[in-house]
Amino acid sequence: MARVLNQTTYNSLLDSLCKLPFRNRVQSLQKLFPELSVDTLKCIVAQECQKRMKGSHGRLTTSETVEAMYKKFTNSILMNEEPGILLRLSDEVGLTPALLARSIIERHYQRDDKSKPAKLLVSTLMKNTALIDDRDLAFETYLCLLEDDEYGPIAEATKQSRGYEYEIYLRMELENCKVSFLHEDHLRMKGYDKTPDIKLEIPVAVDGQVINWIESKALFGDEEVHRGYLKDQLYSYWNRFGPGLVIYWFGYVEDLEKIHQNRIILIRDALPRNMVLMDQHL
Amino acid sequence: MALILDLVSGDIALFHVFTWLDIGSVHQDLKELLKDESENIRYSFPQLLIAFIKEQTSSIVKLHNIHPYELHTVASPKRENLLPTVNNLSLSSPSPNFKNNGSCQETRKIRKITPQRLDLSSDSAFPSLQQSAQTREIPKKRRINPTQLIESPVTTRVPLQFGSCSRPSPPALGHNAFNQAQEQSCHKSLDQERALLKEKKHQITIPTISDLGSTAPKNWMCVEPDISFVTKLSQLDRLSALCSFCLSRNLVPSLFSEIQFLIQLLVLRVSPAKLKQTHLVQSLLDSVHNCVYFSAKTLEHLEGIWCHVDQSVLQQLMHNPRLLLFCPEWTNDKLPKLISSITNVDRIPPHKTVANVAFQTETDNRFNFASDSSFQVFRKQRDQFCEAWQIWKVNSSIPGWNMSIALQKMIQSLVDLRRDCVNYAHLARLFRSQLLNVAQLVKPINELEEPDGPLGQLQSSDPDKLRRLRDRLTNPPESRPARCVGTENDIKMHFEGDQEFFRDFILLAASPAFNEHLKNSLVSGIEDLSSSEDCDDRAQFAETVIALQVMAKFLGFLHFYPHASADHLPEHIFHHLSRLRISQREPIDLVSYIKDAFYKGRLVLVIPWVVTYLTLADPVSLCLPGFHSVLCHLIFVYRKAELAPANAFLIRILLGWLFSQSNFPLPLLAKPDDDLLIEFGNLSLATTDDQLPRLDQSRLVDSSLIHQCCPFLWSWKHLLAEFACSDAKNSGEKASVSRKITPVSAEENPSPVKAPAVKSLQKSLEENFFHNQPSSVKRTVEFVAERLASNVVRDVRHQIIPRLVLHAQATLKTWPSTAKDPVESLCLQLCADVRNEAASAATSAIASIESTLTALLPNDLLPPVRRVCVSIASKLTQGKVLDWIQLHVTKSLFKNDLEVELAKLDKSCARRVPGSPTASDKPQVVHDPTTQAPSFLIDRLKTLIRQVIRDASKVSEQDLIDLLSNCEGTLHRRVDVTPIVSKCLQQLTFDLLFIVCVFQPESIGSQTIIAWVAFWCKTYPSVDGVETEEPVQPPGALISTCVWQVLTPKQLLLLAQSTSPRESWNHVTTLLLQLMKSGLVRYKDVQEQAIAVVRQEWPQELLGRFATCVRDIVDWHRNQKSEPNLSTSESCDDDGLLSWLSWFCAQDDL
Repeated sequence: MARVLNQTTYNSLLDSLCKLPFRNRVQSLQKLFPELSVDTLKCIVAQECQKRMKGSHGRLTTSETVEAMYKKFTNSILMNEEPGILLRLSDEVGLTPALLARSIIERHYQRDDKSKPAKLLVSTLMKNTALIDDRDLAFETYLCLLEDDEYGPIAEATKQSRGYEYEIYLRMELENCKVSFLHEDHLRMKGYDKTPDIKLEIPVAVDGQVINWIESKALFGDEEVHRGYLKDQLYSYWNRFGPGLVIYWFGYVEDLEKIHQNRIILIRDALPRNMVLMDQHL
Repeated sequence: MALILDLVSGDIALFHVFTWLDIGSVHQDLKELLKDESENIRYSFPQLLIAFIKEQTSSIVKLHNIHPYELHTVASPKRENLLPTVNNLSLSSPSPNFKNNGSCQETRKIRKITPQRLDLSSDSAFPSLQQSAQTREIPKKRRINPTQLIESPVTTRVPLQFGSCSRPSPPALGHNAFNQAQEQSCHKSLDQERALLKEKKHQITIPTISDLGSTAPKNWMCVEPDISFVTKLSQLDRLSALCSFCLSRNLVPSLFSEIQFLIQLLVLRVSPAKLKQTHLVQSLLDSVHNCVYFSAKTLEHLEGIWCHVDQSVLQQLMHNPRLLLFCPEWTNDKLPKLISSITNVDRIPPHKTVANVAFQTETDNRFNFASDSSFQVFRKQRDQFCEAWQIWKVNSSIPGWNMSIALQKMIQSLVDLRRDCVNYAHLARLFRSQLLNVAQLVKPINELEEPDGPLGQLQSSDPDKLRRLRDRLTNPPESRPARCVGTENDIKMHFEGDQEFFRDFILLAASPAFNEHLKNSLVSGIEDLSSSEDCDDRAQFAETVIALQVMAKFLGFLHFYPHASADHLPEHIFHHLSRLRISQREPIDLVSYIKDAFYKGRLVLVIPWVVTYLTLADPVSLCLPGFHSVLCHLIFVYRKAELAPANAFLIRILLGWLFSQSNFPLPLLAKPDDDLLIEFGNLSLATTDDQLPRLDQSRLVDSSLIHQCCPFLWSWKHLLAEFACSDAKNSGEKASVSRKITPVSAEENPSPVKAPAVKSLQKSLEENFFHNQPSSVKRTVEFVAERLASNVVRDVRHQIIPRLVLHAQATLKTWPSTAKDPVESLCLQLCADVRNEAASAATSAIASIESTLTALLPNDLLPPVRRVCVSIASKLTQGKVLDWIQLHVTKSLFKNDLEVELAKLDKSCARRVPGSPTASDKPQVVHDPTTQAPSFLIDRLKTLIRQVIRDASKVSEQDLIDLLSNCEGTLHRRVDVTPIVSKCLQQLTFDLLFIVCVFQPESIGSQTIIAWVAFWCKTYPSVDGVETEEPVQPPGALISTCVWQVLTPKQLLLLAQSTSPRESWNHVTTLLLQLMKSGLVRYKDVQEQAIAVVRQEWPQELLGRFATCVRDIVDWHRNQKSEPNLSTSESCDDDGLLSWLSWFCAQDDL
């Protein structure tokens, strides 16, 4: 199943994505792009959702709109509506369920001066909804969290876990290939200011190019994502360690390497099998 | 002048003159001539000689015109201004703007090999700016335009092709099939071309003036020299002999400019028309014939020089038609031999390919910063610096791009991001490293960035043309990109290529603090490299020389830039300024460097950077008393230093270049040796310190390094090539890249004089011991000790200290809270512990010294000597470790860590999360890849819960058992479970079990709940002893953050939806009881949860079941209490619960 997309395919995929309703988009896309890996599609859908939320979250959560949504919610409770009130509201306003639930909780726990409650409190409540004093809000929130794959503590934990799993997987693969390296924790202990996931203590060559470090990314590399990483991480690694490799485990759009100009940072969707190790015979 | 004329026309044996010049003894014959002034004249004689030659040639040189066809061209006035005039042919101050014309033949090569590329230079693609004259030999398509590309209507130039490569820079072609093919093709046409040459020669010996309207502009417009027209042969021979003697004995001040002048004479071209119009003063060198003869003879005699010059220069000489005529023996026989003897075998290998400055833990990690914020800020500074550099690299060649607009803000903000000495120092270091990196990357001049395509071809053959083509296409003359800084006038502050970035960075940053740190960094860099020991191979040596030059150049720039002026300073201002600066201190003590280098035989390393540094000096500086001594030293070195031939050539050509700078105080050059010797101090006092390898006699320098250090040398080739080119063309714009000398550097303060300290006997024993051993022994011992100590320190830093700190942090938790200052006393103890452990680490490291030293020390060392070495090395190692400990292992080292931990404890967030990969006490887990990935498990649980709640999907008892074993596998046998994930799984498994209890009580088997609780107990043990205090919350908001919430409103709401409430409640009660039994939930927690529940309204039925559940709990608790061995901790809760229960029951009755 393909994970590397050319720009055309990617664009048409984004096009279709915009036209689809919010729920079950992965399944619909699967039918449209049967040749693509499901994980890649999931990833693209999730990233599209995050992009959308980044754009509209602020607008959708002004105090006025939250107040209106809260009113609506309490009304629905009074009216004894079926459970799933927040889920329906979420579809209506375009916020993801978990983000909506969070806003409602913030409103519910607002302080006397109408300011927002402490962040720590809200996130504790989101993590353990049983702690919410209002039973309906608690249950509704819980339903939202179960439904949201992008936001909320469960989704966050999943994402974080996936990232770490691939990191560990990469380390093990490298060990299997007898590549010697330091990983993030080592580097941090040694006081490095920037720490790639893997710093090769002995460089290896991939497709004729020497690499000195590897960064693992358990997501799909589109241009926006990649530019962000270049700025915050990859160029910093290049500045310190020279050419390197970034692995987007869920695929990437072709030709992103062009962005780097003369700074060589390879992009792959798995650990290359054809690594050339340094000759260590005497 | 008369003296020289007498000498030349007289018959005194020149041998006597040479002796006089050499050692000062005056022969009888010479005495008359010199009268009484022999000593006075001796040192100024060479200068007189040069002046004489210049005078003799002045009238004819004035007529020089390099463009023989000029009369035929319609040149714009503007263009004419660009033409070189006689003023450019200066004798003693060569302008750096030499014309770069050296690539004619390559252009032709392109045409021969790849005819389709021809259109690059075709009329249609690049129409000539001027009317060109067609010539007989030129195919119609060809144009003659003002660019330098030549093609060769004129046969004189053709032999240049033959079997040679004469690219303007060291890397020669000639190793690929391409070039061979080409050489062959040249070969074939050689005879034919020779024939043409003869014909041509015949034609030009009779100069004619062709009229302007002529359509056959083939005629030469200049006098062609002919050996038969040379007059005063013997006098010219004597003059030439004198001149070549002075040149080869380094008696003239500037070898470079004199040879330059000779070459200019060789290519002298004078239009016969002008010659007729002008009345020439009668002199020895008043005709082209004489000049060329003199020049050719003199050049021929400078054999010692030509062997150090780049092959391409020799090629040009060899094919120069005039030399062919005047010195056939030299050009046909000796030169080819010389060229073939110069091998390219041990050329400097290709430059480094790594373009970034590597992060080095030794110098760049957190330990090298005073605070976290300093460290974090520098991380940003490093990235921004690299970013600025990248932006510059990408954009600087784009016309109209302006660095100050694009980068000034960024640079200024990054440089002063944190006004702190540590950050400035690190930034300066980074700046220097990047600069050196780039300097080593500098490509030979004709290698450019487009490897393929027609432009790439042109690139490798004629970069200058490519540049001009580009300029013409993209850049009309008026809109040449203005340099960010610097005017045309301050040529000396000119930096080439990538170095411009660094210069402009300094100027744009405009940060005095940064400049100061950069100066320090450069000075110390120069000091380090100047005493570098790794000069054994050529590549390393060349790298060092170039690095030194670059650092010196920038140091010079920083130091002299404030004093630069584009104007000529009037004398009174000049004096005023020099008075102001009379006691100015130089950033680097050049004199001691020169002296040191002289005595230690390292001039070849030091002189290049000293010259580069001084080349940047402003006129006032060079006249300051501080510089007087420096210059005298240099002159002395120029005259007296004895080095291997190539080394000597390198430093003499550099020094000569310096002496020929316009602001060099000339009178110094006429000083007698003795005066200079006084400056130099007593030679015999020199202490010989053979620590460092002597370099002056080693064969380290080759012509490519010479040309890299002295880019101005290319001007010789350019002159010759220009001659060859313009032979073939009517005219052309010759603006080309001027080669500049790269000004370099600065010196260090002299090492402070060691105070005569009282040394212990042992110490002096040791000193003597090493003194009488080969110097490598001491170096080895010191090196081994240094490395071992550094390893021990690393161990202490990265292993011992973190381990002990971690341990101490753990101790902190159990520290009696009554202790006054737990941090203080713990710190003290930590210091002691670290010291002890470090000492034992050092001891074990020392154990390996013997074997190490045995392997490294000379084999023939006596065993006792080796033992002494081992003991010294051990002592040194131990000493170094102790020093480090004394300095660094202090209370403050730990204070921060412990205080942070204490603060954490105070916040009571100390509940450990099991499964955390950082937990140090966690047993080593062997990763089992067959277990389910945590993200997969989370997803599965989440889906399951959703399905049970929303879709009433069935979950069987077996499903629960499977899930349990999956969870165990994931949480206990994987290494990729993060704390957050572990916590999330805890919540989800609990939620699932609770929900199944509520919605599908039939799936809960007798052992299900017990098994799950046991699993949680094992995986998420609650921490005894440390009671977590709930964070301060708004009243009524939260009771406890614990995961195991059974009786909260949400859970009751779920219970209210149960279809078989009795079973559900039974299970939930069991669950709660099990949780309490296992200690996961405390009695107090239940109490609080229950209170929260009854604050809300509930259906009466639900409350009844709730009451039953609570009663069960209370009963269980009572039983527990009656057990005698129960811990007493919870007994105090009893009353609260009882009173609450009675109140509750009353409600129930309602």
